[in-house]
Amino acid sequence: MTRDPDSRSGAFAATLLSPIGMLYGMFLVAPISFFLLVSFFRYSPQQLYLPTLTLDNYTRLLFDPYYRGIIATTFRIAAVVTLATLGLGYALAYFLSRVGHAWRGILMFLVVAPLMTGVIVRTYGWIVLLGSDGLVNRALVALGFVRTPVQLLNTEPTVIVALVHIMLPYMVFPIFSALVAQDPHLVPAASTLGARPGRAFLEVTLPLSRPGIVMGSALVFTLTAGAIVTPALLGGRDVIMMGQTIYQLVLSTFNWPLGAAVAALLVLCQLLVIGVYFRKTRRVH
Amino acid sequence: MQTVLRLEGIAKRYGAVTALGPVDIDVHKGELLTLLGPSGCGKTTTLHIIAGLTTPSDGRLLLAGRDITALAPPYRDIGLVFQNYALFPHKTIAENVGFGLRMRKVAKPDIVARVRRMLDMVGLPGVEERYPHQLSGGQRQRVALARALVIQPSILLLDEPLSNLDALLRKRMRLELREVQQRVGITTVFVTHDQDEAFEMSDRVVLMNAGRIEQIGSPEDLYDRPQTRFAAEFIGEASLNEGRIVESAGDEVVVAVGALRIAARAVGSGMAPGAPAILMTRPERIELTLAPDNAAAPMLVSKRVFQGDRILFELSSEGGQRFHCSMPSIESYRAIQAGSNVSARFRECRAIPAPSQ
Repeated sequence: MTRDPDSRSGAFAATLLSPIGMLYGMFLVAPISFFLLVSFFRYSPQQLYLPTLTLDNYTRLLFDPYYRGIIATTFRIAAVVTLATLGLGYALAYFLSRVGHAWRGILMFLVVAPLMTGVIVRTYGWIVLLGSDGLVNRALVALGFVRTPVQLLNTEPTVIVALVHIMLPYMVFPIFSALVAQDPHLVPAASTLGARPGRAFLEVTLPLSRPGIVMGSALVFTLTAGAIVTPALLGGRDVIMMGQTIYQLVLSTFNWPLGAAVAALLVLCQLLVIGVYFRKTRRVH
Repeated sequence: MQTVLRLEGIAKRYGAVTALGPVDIDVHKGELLTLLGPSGCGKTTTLHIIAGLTTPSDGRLLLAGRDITALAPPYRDIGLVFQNYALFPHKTIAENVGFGLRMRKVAKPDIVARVRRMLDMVGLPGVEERYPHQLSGGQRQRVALARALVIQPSILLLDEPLSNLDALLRKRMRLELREVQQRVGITTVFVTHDQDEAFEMSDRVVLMNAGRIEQIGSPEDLYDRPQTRFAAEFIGEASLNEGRIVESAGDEVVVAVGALRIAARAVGSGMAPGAPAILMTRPERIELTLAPDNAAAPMLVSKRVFQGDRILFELSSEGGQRFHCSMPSIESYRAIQAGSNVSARFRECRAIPAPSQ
């Protein structure tokens, strides 16, 4: 007996999707909607929030110099980290896509390996390296470059370097896939038509890896903008990003409405970036 | 005849393995020369060496008298059409075809005009603004051809350009490609493993096997006078039977194959009486009759395959030699069945030197 697969495919798909749908609904859509709502409520030290609608939280975020500074720091760090991982990641991905298969496996493992240790472990690793009694400072003193240890922790450059290290795989993989998906005959074709290697790269390889670049950049930008652990451990009180602020407002100061507003702003910006990403990639093919 | 491209002792080795040569080939002005052979015979390696995509281990490459052996592809003045066309997927057809002109810093209005003229010539007017994925396989093939020709290279290289098309389109494109090649008058090196393609399109064919040249000649030459056993087997249908020369006068010889004595023309040297030889017969050059014929060889029909317009017979001689024979599908031949005794007359047979072991 054969059954028409179409007649039951709708119900079948719904059955398959319902567990994950419920999970997302209960633990993602519902809390986010609730938080979005709370961001329009008034703060109350006694009851967490009062259910009266207001735009105060948002006006405070956008006009209070303290919060404006945090927002600026967050997106500045996210932009710098994205650009730095793009430069380093593209070179690495290009190399990986050209190297022989035996080497590719080993190098690929080295790129993925950091992902297998937690972000906290890796961040503590940076503290060991960069602390005033860390490896880098000892080396600097021993080599006579400086007399006393330099402050490396709690500075923005350190947070950026650590984030670049953590985010690199997220940039390398999308670009690598875009590069290996290219027809290997295109560059030789360009060269027989008179394009020198640099020109062939700019005319063919680079534009065709754009989906990978956009995807990797969107991933790194959103992940960096939402980073908490790395800036908290390596930036301390001197480098504060939106993620730490949300954490503090919600769990330390219990100002849920303001924390919710910071979270809403962050999510909005991330959605914007992802939206731009989808637009860009759809235009390619 | 003017030589446009000369390969002198070109060889390619990978470690201890010799993939190619050394080979010597002269490509004459305006001709279409085909590199024909089974996969792995070195034909694509040869083409890539001409294009500069592979560096030869040995030998010299002269294009229009200039040594280009050490020259990178952008400086070689060649047009190459890849097997999969290798069109730039993110560029329009006009940008694809105009790419080589832009690299040569041709002025923009000239590029537009030359691209249009070239697209007209390959029969694709008005596709300038489309993208490669919006075209059919045959159209893409023509765009690739236009892109290679618009830069007016000294030589056009075609790397199995028809193998990605369906059978019907492939046959049409053969004629079309040949027509464009002749109209432009461009010297062309064409790589294929398809013998029909090679025969229909080429002025001359270079038959390659295991990295070496078996024979160079016109399609007729290769078909009529194969110099080696490989050439006889690879080109067309042939029955090959080992025998011995029993009489010879000039290149007219008689070959003894089992109990049969068959007159043949000798190809190659060393065909004195007593020498071993391979008797090559072509299926269209054997005539069958059911009637006994004293001047013909008696044969048993061991197989009969009806093909519509032709009937194929496999004939077995008393000594166990097998011959393939193809007859037109008319009543007198239809009557011949498997198991029939027939008389076979052999015409225009060839005696090929037996490979020395």
